[in-house]
Amino acid sequence: MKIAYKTRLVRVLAVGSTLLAATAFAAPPAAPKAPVFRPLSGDLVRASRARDAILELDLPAGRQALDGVDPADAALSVERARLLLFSGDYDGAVSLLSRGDLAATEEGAELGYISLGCARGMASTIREIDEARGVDVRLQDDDDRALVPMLADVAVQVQKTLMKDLGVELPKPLRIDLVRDQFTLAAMTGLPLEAARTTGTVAVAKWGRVTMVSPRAMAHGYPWLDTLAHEMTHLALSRGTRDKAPLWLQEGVAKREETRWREPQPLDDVPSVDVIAAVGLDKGLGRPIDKLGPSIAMLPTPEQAQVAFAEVQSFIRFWTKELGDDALPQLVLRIRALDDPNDVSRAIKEVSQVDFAEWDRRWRGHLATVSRDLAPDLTPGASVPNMREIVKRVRLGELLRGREHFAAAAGQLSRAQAMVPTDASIRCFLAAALLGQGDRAAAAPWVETIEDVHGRQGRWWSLHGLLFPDRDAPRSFAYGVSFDPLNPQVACEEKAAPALPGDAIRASLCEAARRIPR
Amino acid sequence: MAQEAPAAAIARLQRIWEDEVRPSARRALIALTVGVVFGAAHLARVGSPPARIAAAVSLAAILVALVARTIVIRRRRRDLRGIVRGTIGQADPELGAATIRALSLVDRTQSDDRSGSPALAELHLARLLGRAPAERIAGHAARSGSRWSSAGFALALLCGIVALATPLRIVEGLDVLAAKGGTAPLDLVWIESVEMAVVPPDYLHQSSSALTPFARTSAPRGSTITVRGRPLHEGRALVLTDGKSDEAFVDDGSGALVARWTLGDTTALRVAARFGAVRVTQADEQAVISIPDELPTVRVDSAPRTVRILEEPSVPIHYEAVDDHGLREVDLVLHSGKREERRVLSRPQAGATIDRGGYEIRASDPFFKGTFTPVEVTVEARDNDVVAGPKWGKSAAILIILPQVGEPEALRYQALLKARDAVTDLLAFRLGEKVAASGSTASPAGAAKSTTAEHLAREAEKQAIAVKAVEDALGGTYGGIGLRGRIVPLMRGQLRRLATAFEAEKKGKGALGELHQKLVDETENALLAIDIGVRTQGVRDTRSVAKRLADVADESAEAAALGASGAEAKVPAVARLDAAAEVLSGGATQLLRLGDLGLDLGEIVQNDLRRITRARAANEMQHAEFASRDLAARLREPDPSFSGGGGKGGTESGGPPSPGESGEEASGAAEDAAQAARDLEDLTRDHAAQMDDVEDTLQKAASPEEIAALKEEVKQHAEAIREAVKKLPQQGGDPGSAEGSAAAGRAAAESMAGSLERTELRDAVENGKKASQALKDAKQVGDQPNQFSQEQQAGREAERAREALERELAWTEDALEKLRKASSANAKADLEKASKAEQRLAERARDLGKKGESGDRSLPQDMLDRLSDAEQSMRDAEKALQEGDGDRGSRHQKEAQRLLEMARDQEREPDDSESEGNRDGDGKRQAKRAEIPGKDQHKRPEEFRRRVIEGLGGSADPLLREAVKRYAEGLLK
Repeated sequence: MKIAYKTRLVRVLAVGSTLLAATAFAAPPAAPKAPVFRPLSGDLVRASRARDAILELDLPAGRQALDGVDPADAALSVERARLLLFSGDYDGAVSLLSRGDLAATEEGAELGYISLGCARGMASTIREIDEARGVDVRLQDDDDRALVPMLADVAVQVQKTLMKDLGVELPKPLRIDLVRDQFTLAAMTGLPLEAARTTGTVAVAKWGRVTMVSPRAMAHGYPWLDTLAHEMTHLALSRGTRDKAPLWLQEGVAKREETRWREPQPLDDVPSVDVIAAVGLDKGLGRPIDKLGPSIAMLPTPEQAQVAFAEVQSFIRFWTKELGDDALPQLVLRIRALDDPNDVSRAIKEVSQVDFAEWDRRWRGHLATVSRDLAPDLTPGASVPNMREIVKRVRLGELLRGREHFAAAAGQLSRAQAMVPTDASIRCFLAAALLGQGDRAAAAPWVETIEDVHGRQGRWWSLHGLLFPDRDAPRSFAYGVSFDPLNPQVACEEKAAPALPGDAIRASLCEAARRIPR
Repeated sequence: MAQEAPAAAIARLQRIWEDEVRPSARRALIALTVGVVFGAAHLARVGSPPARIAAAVSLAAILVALVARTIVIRRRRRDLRGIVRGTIGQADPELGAATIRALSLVDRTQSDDRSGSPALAELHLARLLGRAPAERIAGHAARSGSRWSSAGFALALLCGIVALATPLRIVEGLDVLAAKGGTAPLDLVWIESVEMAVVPPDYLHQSSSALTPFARTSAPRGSTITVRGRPLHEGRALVLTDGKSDEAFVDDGSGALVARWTLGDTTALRVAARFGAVRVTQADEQAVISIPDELPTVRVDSAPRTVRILEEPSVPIHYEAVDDHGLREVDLVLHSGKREERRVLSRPQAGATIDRGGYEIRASDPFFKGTFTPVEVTVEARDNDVVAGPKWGKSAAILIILPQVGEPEALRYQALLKARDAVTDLLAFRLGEKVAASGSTASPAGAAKSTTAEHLAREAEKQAIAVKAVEDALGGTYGGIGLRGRIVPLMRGQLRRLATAFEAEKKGKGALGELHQKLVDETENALLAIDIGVRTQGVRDTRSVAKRLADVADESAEAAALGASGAEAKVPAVARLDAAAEVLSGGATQLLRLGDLGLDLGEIVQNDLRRITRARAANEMQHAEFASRDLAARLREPDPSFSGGGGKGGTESGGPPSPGESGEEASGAAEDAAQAARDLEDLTRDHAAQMDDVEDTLQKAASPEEIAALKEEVKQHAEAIREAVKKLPQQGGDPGSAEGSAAAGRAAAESMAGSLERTELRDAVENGKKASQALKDAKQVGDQPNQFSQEQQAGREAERAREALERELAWTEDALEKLRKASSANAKADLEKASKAEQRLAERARDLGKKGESGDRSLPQDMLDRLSDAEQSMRDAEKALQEGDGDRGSRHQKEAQRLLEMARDQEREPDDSESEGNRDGDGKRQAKRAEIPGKDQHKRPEEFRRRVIEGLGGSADPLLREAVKRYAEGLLK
């Protein structure tokens, strides 16, 4: 998760960006200087109390702590701005932090940068509030409104799961900002854009909310509902531990929880995180789980990020398997009680009688026993053989299909499929080409058995639902939408326009997807 | 004697008095009145308002006095006591007093019975009156009358003297006194023997002419009208006036007066004398009708009209400007919103009253950049009116409707997609051709031949369709932009690849199935190469359009910020915001047509526009500003909305990559094309360096003795050059003027002398050629008619200097040639080394060509030919250098360099500023229909000729440049 990247780093980036923005309007350009900040002055004790409450997402307590404070008190004003930011009042935060005395402090500059990013990204956007389910969603793109009902449903289920698994109740409303791209994601969270683009970051839980990239940003979507669960877990851990949970714990627990809100799906553990972690560590792509840096999103390569996620997920899976499901709520309580956030090992020992180093040793021992048998297309850092040829055939197939030369397209795609039989997307292209030819029988085998493929692909499920209607098609279509909700074929359950899915929510999703076909 | 009644007695006494005094007194008063009038006239003649008021007051005063006197006299006649005092009292004061008392008694007795008897009182009065001394009273009256007479005489005498001495002054004074509105009522004659002449303004270049005095006439506005005449009265301030302003007459030195009047509007001129603020005019009037300088009229063919630049990417403007007296300047004026730009089309020669010309506005005109509203184009002409000031005449407007931002790029991209589709169809056809599967020429002879021939015919037909589609896309113009950059050689290279592959199938020996499969393979690869080229172009265009839209989003933000700042600025701010929104909307629509990235960014623009519109509707200007700034920032990062993590989103970060959506490209054609361009650039640069090395080697290889001998000689020639140009100006006027060219020639000649002294003969020759050309230009400009004398002089001096310079240049070239030949022998070892380097470069050229012959890196045939020719020239150079013939080697090197540069220029990618296609640098060119101005007309033709010469001289083939330039010069003379 991105909540754990160090605040210090964000500050530096925020301040740097602020200065850059400032110098862009100033003339003449001068050599960049290190920013000189004024120390924050005022009632620091009260400000600290307010900040703790806000970071714990206890906004009423934060509000109470700041009630009736002297507006001239800089420290308390910064906390008032933080409260506004956490409450979703971005304009108010920008307005307050534009005060010269606050902008001249490091904390004020950091919050000012984030607030401005939020205010710009969310100015005049659509806001959907589901009071009954306690969800407050802002949509940077109006057309994403169709996603809200599903987000709200999932949010409710995740909250229940988190209460059970972690003993933490998230405050209501849960605030979700659905942004159009990584650019806005970075601007609203402080995550460096380059880092987001390197690791393919799609969501960040910070500033008391979940900020997610819309599935429309990607050609083939992403498991956006699981992502919501993942990010909500981060918020819950921040609340439960008073923001003291280390990165590995945050990410490990979030990975664990991202699928526990729903029934298990095929391929949930494909590839197995234990195997990915083991192979990744063998190949030198892994890192000690307590030394992952400020954020997994800021690791240098996507492969390292993939291995890091697998490591922490594998570790938590191992730990909870050894100690049982009650261990995690206990650990959350122990960490919450810590005076020193760096003393997580002691909390672990209190829960399990064994410290972190010992658990790490045991987990590595466990990994040593794991089979390294991993398909080439799933191996971190490995290249798929004949990649250029595969890509060539796929592209030719798509070009030919685009011109409705379905037979020729199918020929090309068959050649690609033969080279990488487990690839879901190529199977989809092939099946679609064959369907274009009108050959359902030939198309069906390519989307028949999920175990034949390695990647989760929305189109695979919708084609499966179409070609195997008697095998619980509604579930297939639901799976499809959970991966690629704005693909017209997936969202419309492979129906040709103007036909719509029977379910009202899906019908509205289908209409949104058809508005600008991708 | 019976007693006389008292009243009658008093009346008698009064008559005695008046008979003596009244005539004298009247005469005196008349004299006084005349005197006052004379005095008032003199006072009024001063002409100032106070003086005139004072004069009027004095006249009024005397009038009042006379009236008052009459009234007093009448009253006195009824005043019996006064009469008694004035008559009896003067002659016998005691009797007078008694008479007055008696009168009082009479009055009392008549009103009061107790005062006594009225009859007795009257009797007493009558007795007293009867005692009045009539003679004495008459005597007194006679003395009084005498005094009045004396005074009256004196005054009359004085008036007479004044009237005789200055009779006209009194008339003038009274005339001035009676003036109304600054003009006296009575006209007087001031001058005689009047002569008049009119001189038209200089800029009209017309001669002066005499006028018949005071006869109605007409003259051009700004003419000077001269009035000359003899004054009739000395000491008058005479002026020539139109009733509003005056021009003073001055002494012309011969006893006459002269005044000059500059004609403005139509007027009537009169001579007048000026008395303070009052003019006393002469009755004669000179009516002059002013002929105004008319506004220039400008006509533009087919204006007014509206042009959509997308449909008509070049708009020819043919104009004709006409003025009654002369044109100074003709401008093209482009106007859009608050922006206006004027471009000088012509500066006609002095006196030219008509100017015709042409101009072509192209879609790529720089004015259109950053302009999104319709552009009004007019031609405006300024006349040479120095009197009323220059006036501009304006043509009817041509309204140019600009395309939406990105519309030309979208059209171009759509054309490229069509081309790609055609090649896709070709591939589909080839994949479906059964001959490939069925086999070979081993089929029954007749049938196989027939099948093969039919197959080849079909192949040829399909290939022709695909090739035509690609050629159409490459050669098309889309809203004024075409295709350039790497995509052109890339696609042409792939066309050659297809042609080669088809030829191989046609002429190949062996199994037809195998041959066809090879053709299919090549077609697949060509399609993928074209596909990557097209998509790369789409991404490039999307980025370019996005950056332009970012500027519009900034404008939207600025407008919103203005709107948020205060109500007063709100109306224009809202208009600006709406205008920006319209442009963004159009741009978003076009972005959606530009491929995947365009679709992504187009959606973002559309959505953010909805945010801006929503904020605007809710009057939340700060939110509109925020949304606009967010959009601007996003468009300045025109990257896909999502990237990283193996190209696909995981739960939080990227998921595992999939070959089907890895983002890896199916063809390396784009990379290969880029690599080929880099290789060619490197080779061209390295070869240029090698060529310079050989030149340096040759120069430095001369022996010290040769250099020493040469040094003595070159000093003299350097001196001769300096001597030849010493009379030329050191600093010139405008570039393009004779002085400017002469100064440039002098500078180049002095550089030549300096190079000679340093025995840098090659540089000396270069500078000498430049100097010669500049001096030639100076001569041509100086020879043009109607040039100023300095220009003519500069031209003559330049010609003299050029003759001497040419001699020195010929000597220097000869010396260089000799030195080179001598150097070649001395530099044999170095030249051999250079030969090896040249050989290596030739190898590189060969490799480059080889790589471009096939595969994804296929280059167009003309590029391959140039590379091949360049390689051959390098080989020739290598051979010559090996033989120690530096001069020949150098010539071959130059030829090779020329060919390399031509090949390189074909591949060059347009930079960002040119990303809108192959637009002209300044977006303008002369229209085909534009008349070619005469060479002697004015400077504009000179610029025109220069452009033509430069344009043609900049021919793609450097070898032909000079020849083409000479040809163009010949044509334009």
